[in-house]
Amino acid sequence: MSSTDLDLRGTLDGVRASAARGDRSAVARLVIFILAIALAVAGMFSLGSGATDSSALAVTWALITGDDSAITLVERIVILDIRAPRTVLGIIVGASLAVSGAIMQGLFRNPLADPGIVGVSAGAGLGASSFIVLGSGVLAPISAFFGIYDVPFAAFIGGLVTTFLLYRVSTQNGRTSVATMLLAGIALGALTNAFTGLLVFWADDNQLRDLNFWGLGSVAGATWLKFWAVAPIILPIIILAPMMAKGLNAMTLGEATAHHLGVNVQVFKRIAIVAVAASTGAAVAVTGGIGFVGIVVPHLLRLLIGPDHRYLLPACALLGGIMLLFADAIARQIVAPAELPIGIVTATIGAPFFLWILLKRRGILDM
Amino acid sequence: MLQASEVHVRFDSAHIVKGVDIAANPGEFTTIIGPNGSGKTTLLRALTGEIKFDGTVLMNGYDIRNAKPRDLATWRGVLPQSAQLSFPFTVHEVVRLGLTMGVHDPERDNERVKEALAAVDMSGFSGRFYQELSGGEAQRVQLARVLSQVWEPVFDGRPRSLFLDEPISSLDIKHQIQILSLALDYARRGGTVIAVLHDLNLTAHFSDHVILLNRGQVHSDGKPKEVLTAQNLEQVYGCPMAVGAVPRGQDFFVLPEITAATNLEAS
Repeated sequence: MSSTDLDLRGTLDGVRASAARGDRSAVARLVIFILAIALAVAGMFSLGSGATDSSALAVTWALITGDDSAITLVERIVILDIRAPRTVLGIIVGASLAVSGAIMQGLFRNPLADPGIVGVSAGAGLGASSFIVLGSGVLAPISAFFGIYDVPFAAFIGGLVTTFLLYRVSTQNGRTSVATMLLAGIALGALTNAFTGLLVFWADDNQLRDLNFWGLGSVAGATWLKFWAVAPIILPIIILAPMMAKGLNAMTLGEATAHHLGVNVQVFKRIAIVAVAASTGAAVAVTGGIGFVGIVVPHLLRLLIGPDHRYLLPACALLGGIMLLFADAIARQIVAPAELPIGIVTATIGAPFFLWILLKRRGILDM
Repeated sequence: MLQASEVHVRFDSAHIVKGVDIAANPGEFTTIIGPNGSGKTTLLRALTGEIKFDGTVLMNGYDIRNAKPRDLATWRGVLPQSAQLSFPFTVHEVVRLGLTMGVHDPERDNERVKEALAAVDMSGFSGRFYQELSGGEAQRVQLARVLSQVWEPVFDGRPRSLFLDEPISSLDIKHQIQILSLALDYARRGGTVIAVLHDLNLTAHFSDHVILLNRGQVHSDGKPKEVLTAQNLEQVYGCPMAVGAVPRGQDFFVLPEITAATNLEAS
């Protein structure tokens, strides 16, 4: 326990006393409450900041009351049609990345499993790229069938195949080898990137720009259409994820013990793999490869509230949303008036963080 | 009540358990012994429903193959040989994992966790991180987790089973006796206890019923005095053994007879 979280609950003796007895559920509930407020504040600032500088408070007040006097008509349009979709898309994508990271880490029983690192995002990316390039060609009939859901669906299939292969390769007799998982992730990532490279080779100029922009990861092109294309996939997973919490908790003791504790391990693993693939696929489909949110957020929260997934999963959804809005704010400010793709920001923060985890826990590859 | 008939376990080409027929009664402490590789752990894993097997295992009359994992978890707890834990849980949180299934009242759950930790002599440890414990402490915490899962030995009028795979392998002598006494008490209160042990003297002291395995088959099965004979043990373990009475009390001891001339059979 760090001194900072002791300060946080300095006045709340009951919370502290139960944490000292090893029961961190009261701490976790408090943290979730604070994160919920922080997400609301972050969302407000995200709506309020941008080229037209109306204050966050004025904007929120105007939106709540419908009173137009505080903001101009132009501002209203800018906020409702440009910033709002960007904000809500950022929140659900961040939540989705963090929750799928946490589920994957629980399923693989190690804190280094992240859809971005072990090739699931790359698999989803291959699925998505194939529709960006071939959607009007070979894959046109499928594209027509799925409409706006074609890219998310293809990303889901790509993510599903990679997650499944990864689990098969790295898990033997119910035990998952971290080293095998990371190496298998590298191999799968290389293979999918090769196919993506082939698509890049075939792509025309317009498609190339799409692919390139999308590969770096960005929420700049957010529209309500994109939001509605993925919200029906991401929101149910985030909301229903806590139902998987008990199973994930039991799985941390290994598959055999999870079975002893009453988990139908085979069925549970399938559900978890599909959930990871669907939420990663959906996030990748609309915003491209935004890495490291799925590893940084769950890790920070485990330090703060412990690994109990009943609290970890909702906390990840909230902090994931906050982190993405935060990274987006940096992406917009740092080279203003232009903006950086957000994937560059998350990788710059996240990759050193990943190395720091490795440094702190050298023994982890021997698990 | 646990009844196994004609149980076979095969892994790829290896035939590990070859037609085992055994029964373990509620109220009794049943011990499975045998040399390394005799199939003790594999048999236990079949009896708990963890691995695939041929044959029949009935728990309180129900075929465990038709039971859902959730129902099995209501009727039996299992302490594995070693437990891995990949995230920094506190001792309290680990024991609470025993209460994974079903709907619970948080207050009562916390009481249960406290009682289970007290039972294994780990009361002061609830706030410690599991990964910082010694091997023996970790093993006692795992036992507390299993106990919290099947706390009452008789539930809904039917006996529960407690499976222990080498529960005392990393404990000091005081805690070996403490843990086996705890298991014996569980049996005396109506539960069915099935343990895999290596220590023949503790087996002699604590067991009501001993099953001696050799090469995947039951060599002998009965009361400790009937099974733990020098002749049986020499046949199975392949080294000369002495069995004798303890000077005071009802117990007997089992010792290997090691002399300069002892020539151990290669097994």
